[in-house]
Amino acid sequence: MLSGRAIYSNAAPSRPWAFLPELIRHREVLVRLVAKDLKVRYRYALIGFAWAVLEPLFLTLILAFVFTMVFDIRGEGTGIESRGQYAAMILVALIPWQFFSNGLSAAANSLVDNRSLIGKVRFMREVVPLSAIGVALVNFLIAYPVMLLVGFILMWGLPGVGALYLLAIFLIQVALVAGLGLLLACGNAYYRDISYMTGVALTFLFYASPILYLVDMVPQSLYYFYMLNPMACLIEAYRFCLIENAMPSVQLLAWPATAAALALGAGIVVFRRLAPNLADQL
Amino acid sequence: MPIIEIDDLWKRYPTRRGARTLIGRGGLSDYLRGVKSGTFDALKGINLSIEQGESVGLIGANGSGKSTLLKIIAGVSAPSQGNVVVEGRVASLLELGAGFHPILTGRENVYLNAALLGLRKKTVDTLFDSIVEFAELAEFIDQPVDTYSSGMFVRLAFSVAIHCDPDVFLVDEVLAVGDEAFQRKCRQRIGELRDQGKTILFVSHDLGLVNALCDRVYLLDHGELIERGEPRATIDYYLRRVGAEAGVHTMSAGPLEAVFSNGRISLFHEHTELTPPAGWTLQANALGAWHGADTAAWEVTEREPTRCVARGRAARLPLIWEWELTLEADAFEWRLACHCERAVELGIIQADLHLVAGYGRWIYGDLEDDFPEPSPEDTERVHVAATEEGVRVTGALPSDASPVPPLLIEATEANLPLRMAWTNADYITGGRILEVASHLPESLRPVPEGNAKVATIRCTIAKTPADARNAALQDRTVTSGAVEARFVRGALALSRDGKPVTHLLHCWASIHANHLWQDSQTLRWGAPERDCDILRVTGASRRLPLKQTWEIRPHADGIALAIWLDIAETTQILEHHFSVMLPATYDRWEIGEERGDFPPITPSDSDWSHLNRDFAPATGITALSPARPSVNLWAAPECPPVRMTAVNTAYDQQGRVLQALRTPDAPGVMVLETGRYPLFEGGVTLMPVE
Repeated sequence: MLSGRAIYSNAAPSRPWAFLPELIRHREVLVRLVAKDLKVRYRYALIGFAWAVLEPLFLTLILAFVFTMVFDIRGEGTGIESRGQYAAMILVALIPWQFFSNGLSAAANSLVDNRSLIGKVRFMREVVPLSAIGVALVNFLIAYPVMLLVGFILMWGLPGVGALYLLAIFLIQVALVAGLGLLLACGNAYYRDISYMTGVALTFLFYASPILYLVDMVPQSLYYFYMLNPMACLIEAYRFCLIENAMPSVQLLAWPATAAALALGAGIVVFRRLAPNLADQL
Repeated sequence: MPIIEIDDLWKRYPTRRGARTLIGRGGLSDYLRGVKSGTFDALKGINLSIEQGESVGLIGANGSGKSTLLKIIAGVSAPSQGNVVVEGRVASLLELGAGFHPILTGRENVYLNAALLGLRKKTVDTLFDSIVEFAELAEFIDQPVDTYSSGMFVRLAFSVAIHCDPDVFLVDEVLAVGDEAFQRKCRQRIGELRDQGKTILFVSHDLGLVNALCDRVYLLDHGELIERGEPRATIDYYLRRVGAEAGVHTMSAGPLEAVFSNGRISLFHEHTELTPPAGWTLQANALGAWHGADTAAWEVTEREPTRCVARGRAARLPLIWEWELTLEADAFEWRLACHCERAVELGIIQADLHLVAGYGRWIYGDLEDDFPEPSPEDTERVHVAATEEGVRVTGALPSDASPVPPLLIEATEANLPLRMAWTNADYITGGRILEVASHLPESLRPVPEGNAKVATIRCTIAKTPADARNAALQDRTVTSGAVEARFVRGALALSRDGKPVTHLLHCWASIHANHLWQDSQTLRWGAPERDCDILRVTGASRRLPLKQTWEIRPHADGIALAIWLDIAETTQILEHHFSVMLPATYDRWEIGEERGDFPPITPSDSDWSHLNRDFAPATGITALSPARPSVNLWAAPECPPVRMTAVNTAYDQQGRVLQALRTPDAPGVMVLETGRYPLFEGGVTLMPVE
């Protein structure tokens, strides 16, 4: 009984369209690798998964303290009046940002960290960076709903219908992180510089996204340039939904959606082209 | 349809320069300096095709591309050029435990590892118990893997790998991990998989195992397939082909040929291989761990057509093996020594002389028998013949149909005690192994810095099995003119002009002590010692605190002998005798003046019967036969007083016995205190036929 045929050749096509069916076939590997990373991360922690919530919460409190008590960025015309409001504003932006940032830095290092696995077993290589992103995603999926429930229901009241758009924004962000993650992961397999550059770029983007401040504070002359950062658009969109309780404009989501599609497409094509040689590069 | 088809496969690696430049491989500094990165071809145009159900071995020196080829077939690494088609699922035992994470429990790791190998959770659920059972880890399966011993870790990983039921197994050197019991289990399991018709691709330096497991062997050399075919022929080719290298030397003398290859010796006689690919090798046990000489770094320092000296630096011990090999037209000599660079805590030094299964019969000192048939349950060596001490001469005789010549193998100790033992190899490896081992007593440990001679092993080709047998018994034979006396298994067999004279039990001594009859045949005899033409042997009783020592020397037309009794504790002796058994063709006896006929022995004779009436002490008894030498048993003047009697045996033994019997001087028993007593002094004379 033979189960399938494998052809290895330098001329073998990378077949980007087979990405999704293959990923579905490898779903169990993906789930197990994510589960492994989560177990490894939380096994010896007393409160385990609570850290997924507590970590961003503490970070939010620190940031809220610094930017309302030490330098106060609240003021006339900024639209932020209370400390609570400022904290809510940070929280809404910070958790999606952490998903983006943790996902990408983990993905960039994923192939190198799992080089023993890649050099020994044949399986869909994409699963490795995707599982690294999956870990960040699971953290996000735990932290965000908990924050929204606790924070909004107890302190700021129920979010409105705007929250329904969250799903679309979320999916765009997942696609964006996956695409960029695939690119960074295989890039880092060839040149480890990528991992350092990712770190620097993420720090830059943290300040170049409206997390600690509002988009309105960005000088008008820089606005379009600023909005080239898809995360800036997405964070603005999250805020629209949850804080303004409004539907984000199509213009706001059009660019990140395009960027996510391009990143994902490029990520799949490039990764699948390079995948057969990854084992030799690591 | 082939299950693996490889067509013009090339694998090119960029040479890594990361270690030399600060920035790393393909680094910016190289680019700026215009340094181009080089490439290295690990595989150069490989073509091969493997059918379903075949077991194929890949052999070759380190760096010949074996592992690269396996990696490509496993789909881990991509070809640079060419095509590889693999039908069916491949499990690679390349490296076990890929993806095992130390913090996770055994159970979690099994599921993760199985998922990576392509198993669904449902399938793993059904296999789980069997996986755990094979790994022998039932109690520990829910413990984190970092609490496992490395043996447990590998067992679990191997168990998962073989349970995923692939069509093709790629087996790399993994069998070298884990403890010995587990290695056996792996080997057995791989043998079973082969018998189930799985395709196995096997890479190993253990040529014996490759030979045993594989139907075909491919030989790789610097990335090229240079030979393919039947395992034995390919392995031979490999052993000779690498002859240019430092650790290999080929010698030939007459019909004999010997190949030394990095700590292994292969012997050929008229182009027939006497040794299986495992060859003759050596291992040393230091503090419980075995160190094979085949892992040492060897260099042949003196090369001659029939002689060489090779030095091998052990991999993990501060010692250098020094082997001197000499080939003659009908003999091969292996002189073993070691040079300790500092004191080494050696426990056992053991030479393993592997012989092909064509040898069906063994000789061990004065013992000889067939090797038992190997059985599939033999997962380790089965001891066939070994005694506690002393035997220095062994032999191996071919089975009827085998073209191999009879061999005589002698070991001479240098300054360490030696023990030889015949074993059957395990079922998969097959063949016979003569172990020549030196178990170093505490007093010799550690072996001090400097040179130590271990042993000389000499292997002689005998013309016929009888020659081998005779040669093996040479050290227990005394010759006096036409008379030959051979001390075998506690009895002395006499012959004149090459024709046997004594019968069945030959000449032996019995003691009736503490109400037990103790025959010399039942004692545990040590190795014979020679002192000029005197043969001295000592045998200890297994049940009584006594020993017999026989001193046999030539004497006109016969032998003279003295038998001594060593008593370790006060013993009561009722009587004792020295006897000579002759065939029933002897029909007359004479004791001094008394003489008579041996009556015919009839089926109603169920017991021995004394024939002479006069039981007076005497100094001699003679048996006569019309066509045979007359036999005279005599007692020397120094001998304690004995009575000579003529005895007819029971019907089944058909013998006449001449007996020198000693009974207590007064009625009752002789009580002997600790000490040495003469038992019999005298001899046997065989007078020629008139």
